[in-house]
Amino acid sequence: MTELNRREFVRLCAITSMGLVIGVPGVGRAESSTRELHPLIRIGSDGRVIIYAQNPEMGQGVKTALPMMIAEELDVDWASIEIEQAGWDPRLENQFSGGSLTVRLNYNTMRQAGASARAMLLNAAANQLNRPVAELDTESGYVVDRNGDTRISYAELAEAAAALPVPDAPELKDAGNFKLIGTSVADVDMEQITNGQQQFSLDLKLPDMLYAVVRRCPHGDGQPVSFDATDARAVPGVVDFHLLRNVDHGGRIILPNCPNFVSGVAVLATNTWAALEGARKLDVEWKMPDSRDDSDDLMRRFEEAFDAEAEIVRSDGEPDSTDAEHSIDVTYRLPFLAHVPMEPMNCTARVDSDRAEVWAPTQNPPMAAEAVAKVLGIPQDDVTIHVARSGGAFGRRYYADFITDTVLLSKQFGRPVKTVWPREDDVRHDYFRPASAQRVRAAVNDGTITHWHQKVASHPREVYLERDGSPAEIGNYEFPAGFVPNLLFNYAAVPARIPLGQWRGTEHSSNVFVVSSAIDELAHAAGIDPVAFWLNLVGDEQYVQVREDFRFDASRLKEVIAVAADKSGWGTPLPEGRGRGISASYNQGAWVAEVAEVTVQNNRLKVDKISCAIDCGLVINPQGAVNQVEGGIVEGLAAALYGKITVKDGIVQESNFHDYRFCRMRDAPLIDVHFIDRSDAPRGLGEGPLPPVAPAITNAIFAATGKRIRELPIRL
Amino acid sequence: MIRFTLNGESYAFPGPENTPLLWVLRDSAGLTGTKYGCGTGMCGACTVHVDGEASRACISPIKAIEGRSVTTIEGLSPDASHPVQRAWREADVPQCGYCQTGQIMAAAAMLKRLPSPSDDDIDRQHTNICRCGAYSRIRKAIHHASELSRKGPTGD
Repeated sequence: MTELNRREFVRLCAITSMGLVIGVPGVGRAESSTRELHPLIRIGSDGRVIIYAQNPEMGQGVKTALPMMIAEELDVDWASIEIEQAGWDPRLENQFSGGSLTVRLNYNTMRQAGASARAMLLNAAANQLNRPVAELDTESGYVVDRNGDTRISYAELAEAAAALPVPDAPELKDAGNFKLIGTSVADVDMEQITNGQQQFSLDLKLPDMLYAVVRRCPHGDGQPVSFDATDARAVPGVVDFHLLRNVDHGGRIILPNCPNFVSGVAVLATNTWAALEGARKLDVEWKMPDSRDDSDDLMRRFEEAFDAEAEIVRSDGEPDSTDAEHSIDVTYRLPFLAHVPMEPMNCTARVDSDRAEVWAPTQNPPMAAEAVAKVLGIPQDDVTIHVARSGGAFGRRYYADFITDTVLLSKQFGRPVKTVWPREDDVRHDYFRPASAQRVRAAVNDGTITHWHQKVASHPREVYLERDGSPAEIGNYEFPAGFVPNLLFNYAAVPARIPLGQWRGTEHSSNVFVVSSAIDELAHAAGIDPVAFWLNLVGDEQYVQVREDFRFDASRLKEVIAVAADKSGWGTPLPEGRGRGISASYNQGAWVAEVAEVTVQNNRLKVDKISCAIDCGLVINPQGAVNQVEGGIVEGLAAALYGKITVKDGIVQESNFHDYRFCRMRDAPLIDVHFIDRSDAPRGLGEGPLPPVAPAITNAIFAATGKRIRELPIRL
Repeated sequence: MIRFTLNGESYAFPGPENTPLLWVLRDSAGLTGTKYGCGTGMCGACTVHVDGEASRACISPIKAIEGRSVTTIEGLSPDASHPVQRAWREADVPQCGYCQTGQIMAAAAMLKRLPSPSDDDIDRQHTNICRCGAYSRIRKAIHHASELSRKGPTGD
């Protein structure tokens, strides 16, 4: 998602939390000894300071970074505070993790939360001392007299402060005065993660709980007709069965903003293994839908759509050149991709007569609450969502399909139910990154790209169609729009029913591969060094007006390209069979450039090193941020090397890590990350580093071997 | 009834003999530090030690564990002070953290066999998947744990 799409993303998220009644108890454990100074801050008379992480943690570090922003302004010692994950709380805004937006959207609100509470503590002290507040200051959990003769702890002031009005616009620190923001802090759950005590959603056990595994229809739109449970019933621990049909609840992909579960037969048991075995031994008769997509056939239809009438997304000048010095006319192909977070989908729910309590590894608590209320037919204020630390998410847990089936089962059996997805269902019944075919016809004259015509064909993610006047899969502002005088973007939508969703990097995971590959092809066609070609393309103007409402800071793109090239040793000689490739992008507000260095020997590829330069504005927690960049790069590498979901007859063929592979240690390159030192507000970080990985690698393969890779995953 | 030693104490499991050790640990013994990732022995999130060797609990039927000694993350050290656990914290390895208990158990078993592994050894022998891609830090932490082990528990 680009900056321009952020508003739409926020709007969609806001829709999901409309109509809520204020005051639902959403924030986790309300400690009786503590007082609430803000929905995210509690201080106790015993000296406890509890800060709640507003947005879900899924490995991206926000359970650490968001409380850091609060603690900075609240002026408390980081080591002395307790940090908890907030449950769904309708009083809070932007309570979702997605679109690389968590830090960006909350940089001001988190600091304001801390600053408001600090102001309330100062006011309480001023009242108690009968002194003007201007004579008072704070110092790591104490209100102090500027003259140094009085010192009152926050603990002593908490009760009085909590009763005071919340200031509207508390003064915020200048970035230059930060003590905590910008320093490296370990993950707040480090201790529990390394001693095995960290509780993920899958680890939860409630009294009287049943374990459920659903034998799901292989086709996401199919339905169970009948089942024979003779063998399943014989498994010790199996308790009962239930037909789960999504037709009663809107189908799987008909309601894109509230996606629903895949139908099947649920097996309820006293333990997970019995439920898994029971589900395996069920004999189910399915009714398959008429629509049976095939991913190979779909790719052919995408390419055929190049010749059909396509939507004009953007048109500048005369895009098709007739007599260029150098030109290319090439087609790139990108596969469907799955998320496959390490913790498979799961959820635990306790539904009583008119209330639902849910424990879920969700990225989107407000949408989870909306979906639960909808399928149960109860008001949202009777829904409680506890947010668990997610064992990875990458966009998959944005949806509520793994929650809605669980609440229906709990309602049906009148007991708490934990639904566990076998890995095979997690792979098959995902919301996939769209596959696409993209054709680029472009020309270079005098060392500069003069013409660029890019056609994208895919089946669309319905939820994001017509976003900002562009289809979701190519925006009218995307690079190189604004940098090439004659440019045409086309989009051709090909109907299909394979469920699509948000995948880390969104459409950029596809488009940056196409754009960075085509730029490299043009550089080589013109006989120009690719880094020099990129720098020339970006130009010397600081700002480029890409669209009326979108001014692009080209100098920051230029800087990351120069830094990545410099740090990679670009231009220094490499032995035979090795090569470097560059790519760059602007994604979720961040500028990223990457250089890959590869070795190709005996037709085998090894990615030796990725050098990354990234400008994402102010970095809150540098060591957490490096972790995010490294993770994004490895995920991009996995997609480049292995990622491909195949659909035949409407059924996903891959099922587990043997046929939907991910990188292991032996695949992992040396990763060298350089942040550009900035103090302007934070920008998106979680997704930007992923899209440039694949084209950096394929461009490096070209440099090493002369072979051009235009289809992912890479096959030499 | 299948009897075995679990983190130094005797344990008896009354359920079916084909139940994988993973689910005995998680659902019966309440030791949830051992994770379910794939159910087919491919990802390593369920790695435990059986008689001191790294083993993938999701494909170990409990019958095959009879009479043997199982160590899980909860029993690796009394206070999370094992050199691998310390190294993991110092290197700030985790992203989501879900696979890390398995990573730690796999690394601890490897270091017992191979106290000073080379990068090449780590590439070949450390095969657990980290879906978040924390491999740079896992590698660094394995090397650091190797140093800590040589220095002894007090670090000197």
